[in-house]
Amino acid sequence: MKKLVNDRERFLADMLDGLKLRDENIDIIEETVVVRKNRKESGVALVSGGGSGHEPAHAGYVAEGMLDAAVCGEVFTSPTPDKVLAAIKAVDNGDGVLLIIKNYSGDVMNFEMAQEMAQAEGHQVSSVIVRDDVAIDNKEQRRGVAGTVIVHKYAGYLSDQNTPLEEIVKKVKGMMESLYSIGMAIAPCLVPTTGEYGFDLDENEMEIGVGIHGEKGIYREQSETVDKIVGRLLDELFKHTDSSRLIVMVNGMGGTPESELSIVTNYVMKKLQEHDVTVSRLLVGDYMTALDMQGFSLTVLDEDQEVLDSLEAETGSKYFK
Amino acid sequence: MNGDKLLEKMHGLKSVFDEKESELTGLDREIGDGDHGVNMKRGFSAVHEKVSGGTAPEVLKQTGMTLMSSIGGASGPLYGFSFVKMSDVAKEDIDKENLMEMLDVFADTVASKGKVEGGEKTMYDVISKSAELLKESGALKLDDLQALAQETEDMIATKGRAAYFKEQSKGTIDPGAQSAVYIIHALGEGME
Repeated sequence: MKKLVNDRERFLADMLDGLKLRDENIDIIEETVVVRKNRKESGVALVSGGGSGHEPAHAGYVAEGMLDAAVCGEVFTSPTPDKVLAAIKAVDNGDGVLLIIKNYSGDVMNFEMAQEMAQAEGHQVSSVIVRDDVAIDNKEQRRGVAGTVIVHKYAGYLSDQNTPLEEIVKKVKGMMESLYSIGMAIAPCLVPTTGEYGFDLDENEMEIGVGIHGEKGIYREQSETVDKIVGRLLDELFKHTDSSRLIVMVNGMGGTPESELSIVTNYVMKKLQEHDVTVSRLLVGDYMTALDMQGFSLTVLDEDQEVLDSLEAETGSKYFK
Repeated sequence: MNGDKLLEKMHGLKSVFDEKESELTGLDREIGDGDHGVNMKRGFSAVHEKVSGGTAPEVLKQTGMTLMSSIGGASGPLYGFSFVKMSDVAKEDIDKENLMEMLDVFADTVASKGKVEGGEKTMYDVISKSAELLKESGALKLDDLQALAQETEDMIATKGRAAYFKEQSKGTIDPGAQSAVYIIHALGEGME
């Protein structure tokens, strides 16, 4: 395996040490919890996190206007309850804490366990579980993927508007009702902690419906030109939304060149125009990745003025553009 | 089995998971995300390093707390919490009867925390049948436990990450069922 690492067992620690050198506005506490240097003195504090390997998520969104803390687990592995609890305690300013959890059994178990522990210690903590991946039929089992970043931004904005905790929960849940994503890959990621590729793919194959943990997709198909791939993914999304005004995110999976992301974007916009869909806000970039996986995901969300305002609002995160 | 003997077994699981890392990774790569091997290895390395001894219930509790704060993923809270729960029923000198009781608690904890039942292709399929195995055969032999894990091969996963693959999850032993084999085998060793 060729990877720019020293010791696979120090992957997370080395990455966080480096991250701290790159971002003067963050602190790292309890070894793996990234917090803002200037803690918020009032307003609901937002805590997210999960396994590592999704950079810039989640630590890159710890900034004014977005998250107050990100709890970083090992590569593709949920962090443990003690670390989540430490994050809650570090950021709670008395106005309550919201946990933003992606729907994976490990994340849900560890975060909810921490939530119970924090509540037992007198903290006011609520949680929302993101389930935007429509590659999974069963609604309850849907994974949380790139749409989570839009949730971070929206919740961060609401918190800055001094919205109370339960109101934020209600609004975010409402917004997630129309938040749908689907991903694809033309090449798997190499997981540095195991030295193995997430899956094996022949030269002419692609995976449709991949998650963000290097796991296989739901469908393995013959690779196609990008316009057909985009059409294929949009067809899946159109099974869930018939809105004519959408917020759209084109998310790179980590190993996709910017040039190809632009090409994808070009065909996404063309296809949407053909379907008479107006795109009220377009987000393009590596927001929620799977290490060096080559591929992309599309996320769509019904247009909503408050969500649009939140996307325009300032943030200190250099990764949310 | 007293605290010292139990500690020896828990420490011994470090080398078991060092050795089985790639086997578990291989299974998890098929129907999950390929991290189960490295996570179990990290968990029991931490147990080896941090759990220093005491009575049997104390060793179980320390083991549980250590696993919970070092494995991560879904297996961390499931194994970790189960060991903590087992410490509530364990005697200072664990006999066969007591071990059966512990295994029942192990199964109940996984069922309630993981919201899982039998036949869903998870660690529960091994854990839930091990108390009965001990009762009927008087021992927890590796081959018998392996046969329980083997049964998960043809199951279709409905819980955990493997559930995303539905029908395609058939044909691979559940990685959690496989790691449960090693843990339960260690608990039962020398209890015949």
